[in-house]
Order: sequence, then C-alpha cells, then structure tokens
Amino acid sequence: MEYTDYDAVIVGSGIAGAVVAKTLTDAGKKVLMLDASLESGMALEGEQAYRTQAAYLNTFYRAIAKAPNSPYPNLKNAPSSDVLEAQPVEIMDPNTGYFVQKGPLAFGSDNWVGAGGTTQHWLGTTLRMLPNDFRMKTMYGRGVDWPFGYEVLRPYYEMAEYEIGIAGEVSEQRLPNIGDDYFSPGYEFPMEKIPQSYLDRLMLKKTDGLKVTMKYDHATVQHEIHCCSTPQGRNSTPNKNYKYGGVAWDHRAKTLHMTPAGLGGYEPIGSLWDPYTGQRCEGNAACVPICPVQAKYNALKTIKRAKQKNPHLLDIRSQCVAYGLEIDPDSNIIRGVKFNRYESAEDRSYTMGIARGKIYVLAASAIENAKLLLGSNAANSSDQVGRNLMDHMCLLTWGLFPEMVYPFRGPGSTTNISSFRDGDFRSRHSSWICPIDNWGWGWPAFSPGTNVTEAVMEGSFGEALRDRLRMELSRQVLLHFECEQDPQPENRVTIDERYKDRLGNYRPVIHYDASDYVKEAFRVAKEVSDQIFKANKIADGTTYLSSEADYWEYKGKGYTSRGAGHIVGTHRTGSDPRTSVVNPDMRTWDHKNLFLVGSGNMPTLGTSNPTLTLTALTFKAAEAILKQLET
Amino acid sequence: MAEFMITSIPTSKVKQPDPDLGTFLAISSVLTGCSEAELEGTGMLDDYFCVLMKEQDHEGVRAFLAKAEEILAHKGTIQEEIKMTFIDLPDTATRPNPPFDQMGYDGLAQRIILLWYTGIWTTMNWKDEKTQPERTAMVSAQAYQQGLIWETAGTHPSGAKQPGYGSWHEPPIEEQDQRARKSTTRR
Repeated sequence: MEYTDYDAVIVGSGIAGAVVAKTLTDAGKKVLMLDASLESGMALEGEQAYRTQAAYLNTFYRAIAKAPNSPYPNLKNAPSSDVLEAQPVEIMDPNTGYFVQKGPLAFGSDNWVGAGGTTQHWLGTTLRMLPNDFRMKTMYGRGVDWPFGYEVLRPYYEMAEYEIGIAGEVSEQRLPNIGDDYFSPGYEFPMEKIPQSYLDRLMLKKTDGLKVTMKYDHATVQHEIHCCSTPQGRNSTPNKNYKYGGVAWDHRAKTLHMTPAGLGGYEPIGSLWDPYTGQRCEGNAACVPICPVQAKYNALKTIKRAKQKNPHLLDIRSQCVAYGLEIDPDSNIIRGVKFNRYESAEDRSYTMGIARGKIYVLAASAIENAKLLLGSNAANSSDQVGRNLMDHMCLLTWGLFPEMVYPFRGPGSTTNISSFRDGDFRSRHSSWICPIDNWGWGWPAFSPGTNVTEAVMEGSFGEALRDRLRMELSRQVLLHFECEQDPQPENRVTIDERYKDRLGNYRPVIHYDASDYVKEAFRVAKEVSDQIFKANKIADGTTYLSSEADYWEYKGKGYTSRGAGHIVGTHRTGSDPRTSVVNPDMRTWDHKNLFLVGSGNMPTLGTSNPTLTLTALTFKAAEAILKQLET
Repeated sequence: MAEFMITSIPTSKVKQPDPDLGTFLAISSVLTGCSEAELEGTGMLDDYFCVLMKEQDHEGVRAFLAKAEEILAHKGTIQEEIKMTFIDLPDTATRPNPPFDQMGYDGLAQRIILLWYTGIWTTMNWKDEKTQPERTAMVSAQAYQQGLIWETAGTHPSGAKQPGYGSWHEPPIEEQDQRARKSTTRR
C-alpha cells in the first residue's frame, strides 16, 4: 500500500496536525493526514458525526470513573495512556497498561490517540505564555531561553485564538510583568468572556487583593494576590468588534497574515453534526472529558473546515498507525512514513504501507512524536529527543466554604489566580497558576459519588442523609496550583525492545521525577493556600496519602502531586543544533524536510495550559513549511 | 462505529405486577429520604426493581422486602426499626468500611441507597461466591443521569440535563426561589 504525490504528509489529527492541514490546503497544497484511530471517529458531519458523539457520550455516562479518556475507545492497535493506570511505580506491572513507568514518580497525565486528539477531552483553557517565560535562563538562571521572544509569537497567538475561537476579556487579563504591548493595540477576543461562576464571585470577595506571606530560610516576601477571568476555547456571545475573519498565505510576501472579519464580527463554529448546536456553552459541566454539544473547540472542527473548503486537497486515512520514517542514508532526507493499516478495532491483522510527500510533519503528541523519532533513529543528533518531558505538577487543596457556593456547575474553571505566574521568586522555585475550580472535590476525592458512599457506610440514611449530602456538596471548593516543571534531561521518554504493543510498536518507557525547584514551589504554594483558606474561613479537607501514586515528602511534609495533562518538551526548539531538536521554524536540524509540531516543541512550560502556545507554534511552522514548498 | 458503540439494552422485566414492587418503592423512599413521587419521577423504579431481582438470590431479596413491609406497617417507629434492622452493624462487622455482606441483610439497604443516588449497583456474592470481590457497575446511561445525588447537590448530572448558558453565574434556581420567598415573607 503506497500513498504518494503529496506536498505534505501529516501524522496525527490533533490540533497541531489539523492546523497544518488547514493552513496548507488553504494555500493550495495537497496534503495527506494519517490518523491512527477508528474511521468512525473521523466522521465530520451529519448523521455519522452525531452517532460517533452519541457513542462517546453513552460510554461516558456508563463509566464509573469519569476520567479524561473515559468516553473514548482505547484501541489495542493504537493505545492511549490512562490516568487511572497511574499507581506508585514500585507496584506497577510493566506488562500492563500503555506507559511503562520507570519512576521514581509515576507520570500522571494522559492524552488520547484518536481523531481530534486530546482536544476531545481538554478543558479548553487558553492562556498565552508570559514574556518572561521565554527567557527563564536570562531572567532567573533556570531552565533555558527560547530561541525567540514573546513578541515573535504574538501574531501567531492571534491566529491560534481565531482558529480555536476564544471567549475572553482582554481588559481583565491582569498579569505580572507583561508590559503594555502584550496584546496588540485595540486587540479583542473573538467572543465575550465566559461568565464567571457564582462560586468564583464568593471566593473573589476575600481572595482578590489578599496579602499573603511567602516564607524562605533567610527572607520573607509579601505578595498581593490578583485574580482574573480565564480565556477559554468555548463558544459564548460573539464579539461584533472582533477584527479577523481568517488566516491566509500571502504567496508574494511568503508570510501568513490575518484577513479582516465580515460585517458581523466573529461567527462561532457549532457542532460537527449541526452548525446551530453548540453555538454557546450550555453549562453541561463536563468539558473534561466531553462537551455534549461541542460548544467547546475540538480539532475536528478545523479538519472539517479544511475538508469542506478544499475537499480534493486533503486526504485523510484512518486506522493507519505510523511507526517509522524511511530516511535516505546519504542525504538524510525523509523518503516516507511507514505505517500499518488495520482493518478493525478487534482485528490484529494489518497491511503495511508507506506514505510519501515533499514535506513530513509529525503531529502525534509529545510522547508519540518522541517514540516515532527514537524508533526511526531520526532527528536525534543532539540526543535531546524524548528528554525534558514536563507537565504542570499540581498541588490540590480543598475544603468546605462557610456558605453554599454550589459547585458542579458550569465550565471546570472560569477564574484564576494569576499573580504568581511571574516574579523574582522564580529564581528560587517554580511559578504557578491557580485556577479556582468549579467542580467541587471531583478531582481529588471523586465527589459527589464518594460522599454518598462515605455517608452510607457511616450509617446515614433517609432525610438526615440527604441533608448531610446537601450541606457537604454545596460547599465544596477546590484550588489547584499548577507548578511549572523545569526541563530535566533525565525526565524522558525512551523505547525498549521488551515493551511493545499488539501491532509490535513501541510502548513509551517513561522516567519521571520532581526537582527541588518544583518541590519548593509546593511548599510555598501550600502555605499560600493555607492563608487563602483562612481568609475565606474555608474548613480544610486536604489530605495527602502515602499510598497515592505521586506522594513524596519535602522538608518534613508530605505532598501528592497530580498531572495536569500538559505533556510537553520532548523535542524542543532552540537556536543551537547541539542542544535542541528543531530550529525556530520547528524543522528538525537533522532532516530538512521533517517538521515536528505540538507541545513537544516547547523548551519550557511557563504557567499556561500548552494548547494555545502549541497552536501558535504550529502556525509558525506552517508558515515555514509553505515558504519551503514555494522556494 | 460498531466496534465501540454500546447500546443500552433494558434489563429484562420481572413478571408484573409484582406484589413486592410497592414495598420496594416505600422502603426506598424511607432509605433515601426522597418522597415516593420523587423516586417515581426518575423513571427508574421498574429498572431498579429488576436489577434487584435479577442480581439476587430471590429468597434473600424477598426476605429483605418482607421484613421491610413488616416494619413499614408499624407507623411511628419506622425510623428506629429500620436503623436497628438494616443500618446498625452486627457485632461481627469490622469498621471502617465493612463489606456489604457483613451488614444486616447483606447490606441490601445500603446498596439500594447507593443505587438511587448514583445509578451504581454493587453486585452481590451470596452463598458460594463470598470469596469473590464485589464489583460495581453503572446500571445504564439513564441510571447515571437520574441519580438523586445531582439534585441533592443543587446541580444536574455532569454532561446531561444542562441548565443553559450562564446559569452557573447565579445560584441554582431552587436557591433563588427560596431567597425570593424569604424576602416576600419579610415584606
């Protein structure tokens, strides 16, 4: 089986692959997209798309644990990781699950290998990184600098915000050390901000403006807390003043630019099966793992727009698992992507194939990209492929608010504490962002279900039971401090002949740990949390158990860290081929027709959820690809 | 598509009308703290009765229901008797979290409460299967959506019965009604 004559072959159908496919086909290029998961998942319209969504939703309803991947098929031929598999590394069986966890800590995040990728289960938070995130080495002597600054990425952020469709309020983005040109003059988001929750309103009264103390061995620092509404990739009321109507390739200038909006401003993109469904968030409170009405963005919306506009330029082949690259030994040019096409989810039989084009783009996620490169012995002259795996390590703190705040409603988070995202403390410990969560103790304690079990086990029944549950559940609050993990070469994805999946492809072998830089942030963040709880008269319910997967002790106290699902850093961009995998255009240093896109490109993580930044980087990559195709 | 499409097949019905159905509803109401009308309003009564009958050694369930019927006839002492008979742990049970089969009537009362509140049924291992661990299963997609826990918490099941754009910015409707009533009374 051979697919040939493409300008570009893309591996992966998540947001990075989708943006490359759309941008290239818009510019008249012929593109092949290989997707590892089921063909039914790639249904882009009408009855078929609706039936796929109904199947996901039904699976979600019937799941006991509503984990991020619970609605979606986990295919033996193209497996996904699952957070539910994470346990203390010493008791994990390397022959089960998908990740082979070598520790010392378990990597506690997952992504989904399937049509639309992890944008199917993402929350939809879309924060830009801060200018100082791009110069961590220079400013704070930590991590590495990016090969370019925030100002270079700013126009691409605007493209990403258009493509995803962001709801947010520019004037409320109160962020540390961003200067006055963080947003371009007069910039507004495509849609009005998502209303902040009732819970946020009560929490903000005593939290916004609160002065807290950060204590160190030889210093004490005062900090005033600031909060702001969170920009999100979900539909709200369209902004009539939004300036842009698309992203287009300028054949003469060889650049991407944004085209002006039509008269009505921004037009929200509804669900795949019906454009009038999902025009606005309906408050399903299930963004992770599934938005039933698709008011939340997912990458299939981008693929659908590409396919509708240029049906003959975009070919999509599902059930094709890419496993290797064919490399010309003399020139190091990539000659093809090798894949196995399987017939059905149950069936282990497959046909081998190869896909050929001028340019190759790996967009299969930070973990899968690294695996593919390592398995092909490609792009790794720097020995950086697979290294510097990062995530936001989350400190969760939870308690009962003195009055009813009514959680379990609305999007997962609508407000965040933004003031710890940058500051001098970054030379001592990680910065963090702290979303105020809207879904009670669901994450740390599996509420509300566990509250019923607990009460019943304690002998509660009847009206007393109901009153008890009402009082407990209506007052639950949760904060999570997403601490920036610094790049560590030993936190890495590797491959091992002993560990393969059903089709004989490598399973990711993961080495993972927390540095003292992050641990110190946990210590300080917990003390900040205690002060926030005290000011709000929140009765603390936080417990960290030594039996939990990622429990560790630091300076005499125990903490449990949890993954944020922000899997970053396995093929970083840089200006030096000796210490980075891709150049500032996201092209591999080693192969002039191989580009990598996705969160693997990020040299550091900052305190933003990475999807918006990886999308901006992907637009930058797409521009470079077009330039290369036209010279 | 067929590979992962799960269709919700209704559980097979016990022969109706079953004389114990009324008792099941009445005891469920006392155990959950919800009125019979509320429980019937979920539409799950028949399905849950079937789950109970299907999963079980019938004699065990019938014995539980017979005892329940007896207690429910003693108006005035219902709460105390239910507590003593079904809720309080026998001396042999070990805390914390005794398995259901250490409880009175194999924890049927507790299993029934969890079923109504969460839609999740804990399978029973009566007689020879006592060594098997108990397993839990969501009865159906509908059972999840009809769980009493959501309304009790002042919300809706996550991913269903959505309350509409911006609803989360205000307290739940019931709370707003209550406040409005209070302020009217004061006036």
